[in-house]
Amino acid sequence: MRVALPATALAFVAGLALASCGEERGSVSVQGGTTATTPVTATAPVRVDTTELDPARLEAAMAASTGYGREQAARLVRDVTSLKAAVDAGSVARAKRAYAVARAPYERIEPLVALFPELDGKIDAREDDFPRKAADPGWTGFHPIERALWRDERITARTRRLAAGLVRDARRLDELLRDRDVPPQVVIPGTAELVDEVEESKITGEEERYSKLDLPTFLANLEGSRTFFSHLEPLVREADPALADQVEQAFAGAFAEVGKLREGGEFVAYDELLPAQQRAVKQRIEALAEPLARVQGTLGVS
Amino acid sequence: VTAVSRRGFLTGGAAAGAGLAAGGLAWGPWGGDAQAGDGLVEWTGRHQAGITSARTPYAIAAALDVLEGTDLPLLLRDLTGRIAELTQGWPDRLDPAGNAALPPSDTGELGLERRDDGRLTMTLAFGASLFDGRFGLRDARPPALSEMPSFPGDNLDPAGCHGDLLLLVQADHLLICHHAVRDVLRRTKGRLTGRWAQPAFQRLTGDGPPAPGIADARGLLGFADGSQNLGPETSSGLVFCGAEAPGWARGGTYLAVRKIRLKLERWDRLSLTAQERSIGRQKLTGAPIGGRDESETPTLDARTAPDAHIRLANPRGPSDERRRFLRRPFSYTGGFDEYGLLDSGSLFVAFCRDLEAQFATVKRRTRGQDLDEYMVAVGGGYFFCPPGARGAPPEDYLGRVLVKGV
Repeated sequence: MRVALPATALAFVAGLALASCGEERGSVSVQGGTTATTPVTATAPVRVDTTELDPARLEAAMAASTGYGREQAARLVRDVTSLKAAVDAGSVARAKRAYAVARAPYERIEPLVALFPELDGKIDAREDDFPRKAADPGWTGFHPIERALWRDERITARTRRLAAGLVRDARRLDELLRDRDVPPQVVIPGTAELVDEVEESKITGEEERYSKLDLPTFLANLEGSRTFFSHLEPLVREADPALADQVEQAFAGAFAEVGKLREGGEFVAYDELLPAQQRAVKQRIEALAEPLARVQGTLGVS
Repeated sequence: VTAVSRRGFLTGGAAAGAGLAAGGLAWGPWGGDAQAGDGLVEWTGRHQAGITSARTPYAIAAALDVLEGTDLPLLLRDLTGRIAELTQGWPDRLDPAGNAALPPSDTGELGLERRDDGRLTMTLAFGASLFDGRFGLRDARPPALSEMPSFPGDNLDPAGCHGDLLLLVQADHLLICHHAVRDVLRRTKGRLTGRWAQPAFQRLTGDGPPAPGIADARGLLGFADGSQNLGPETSSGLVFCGAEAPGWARGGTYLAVRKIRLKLERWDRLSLTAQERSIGRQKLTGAPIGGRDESETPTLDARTAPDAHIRLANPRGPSDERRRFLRRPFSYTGGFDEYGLLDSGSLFVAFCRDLEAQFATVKRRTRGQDLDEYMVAVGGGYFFCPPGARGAPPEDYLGRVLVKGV
């Protein structure tokens, strides 16, 4: 599932920020977002005005977020390499375990991948996005592998090609992130988008439709969001201490609720949750999404 | 960025605490600059608005659950504050946009032109489950409040019953009711969650309160609904609690809400005679069978069937007078059911001083009435409406004495 961040708008945003504010503090991190590689689509632009933020804190937040992105990307490379090894060995059981592990680093930094939309499309697209659905040769990345492992329970030559392609794309992501400082217009909205993602799609059980690994995926989204928020927290606290408290408390509530769904360290399959459990999780996610939605406005991103 | 905090009212979790609520009030007196037009219903007083205030054609009964760990006094305080604002013209609706980078304080569907219209009331009530010990209120449950039982003939959907709180929202337009429910829900995320809600409507027959003994509307059965019920001007002592109730509850009232599905297709196939026999009244005039006027006291002679609704609901015995209660009935529709039949019926709303002695007794007494063939209760609950507030927080709030003891 791709984050709705209009990466296509980033060039516009970056250009705007550079052209219009021209101030050190506004442009320091925005420069990371100056990318000419993004195609133009009809997505509404993100407006960024970070001029009211403390420049040192903003820079520190972006540096920490960039570091986190690189760390998770490196982990992704390691984990999809393990997945490829299991697929090459022809072991469905091992491949399933490796798949579950490899999803997390990707889901934690999903908003950063939106800097490279073509990569997100290769790594995390769902069959619904393709004209010929699951039979479409253009469908690559995690989810056709998921389908092979859980639905077909069979590793074929195509599965092996897909796993190799996934390793290539993860490496590419890793390289790209090494060359790029992540900008505020990605990190700030991304913090809330990770939670919106959970609220809108993951919680309906459609994301990991074959593996039913929705809860671990959802936890990874939350972990990513909380990490990005922790980087932004000094800026938020400076602007609105009550909001910072609210978000932190809501994160604690959400993690506590999700934590209840582990059985012996493992998450239960999403479709085995009772309606009351799904409801309880959803309530905590909504309670988090509400104040997070105010974070970006508070930090000058609309 | 500083505009953020003034928008924060009621959006906070418990963490933000009283500071948020106070911050929300800091921009000015709630409703202080609202024009006191016909369209604003006074919300303060000994009793809450929406019980005896003028009837409006639309309502939403919204049952809500309080999430664990919620600071209940703070929640009640915030809710009261927002009820005061919303019913008195919600000043933030006219605020300049403030920080456009933030979600707007008001959702906007009511427009910006008028804020003195709509006669919105929001009546807050407590369900029995609020007193289950989660909030330290185990010993404070109002004496006549229990979980609504399943009466014989009921087919209650557990997902559409009960609730920690009930907001009975009434107004001149459904959009106004919906706006109020939406507003409260978005400002109480993490503290309140929707349990069930039923939008409802009614076509009132006159502008003012109906004459004694005259129903102010017809139900979907096509008959006048509630002809001999208590009027809103009642001084009967049958609605509001007095000395029998704990101090905090005096001036409050019990509320029974019942979503009653009517089997309209079957009803519509009945002859006029059979319909009138079932109710015990004439369809056009509302008069008892053999009578002349809706307002006359039924004689219940042999012309009224033994199983007619009006005979069983009120046999006119010496003790029946004190069984009466105050109704504010509405109709509802949920569209078609899975078989293509009308999923429509009554949203029965009744206020009384003692649920058991009044509503439940009458309900049990009507068991076996012919009308039972055409209706089935599918949801609802028992609630208690605390007395009204003297003013908005910090001066007062709904349920303050219950949760604070003073």
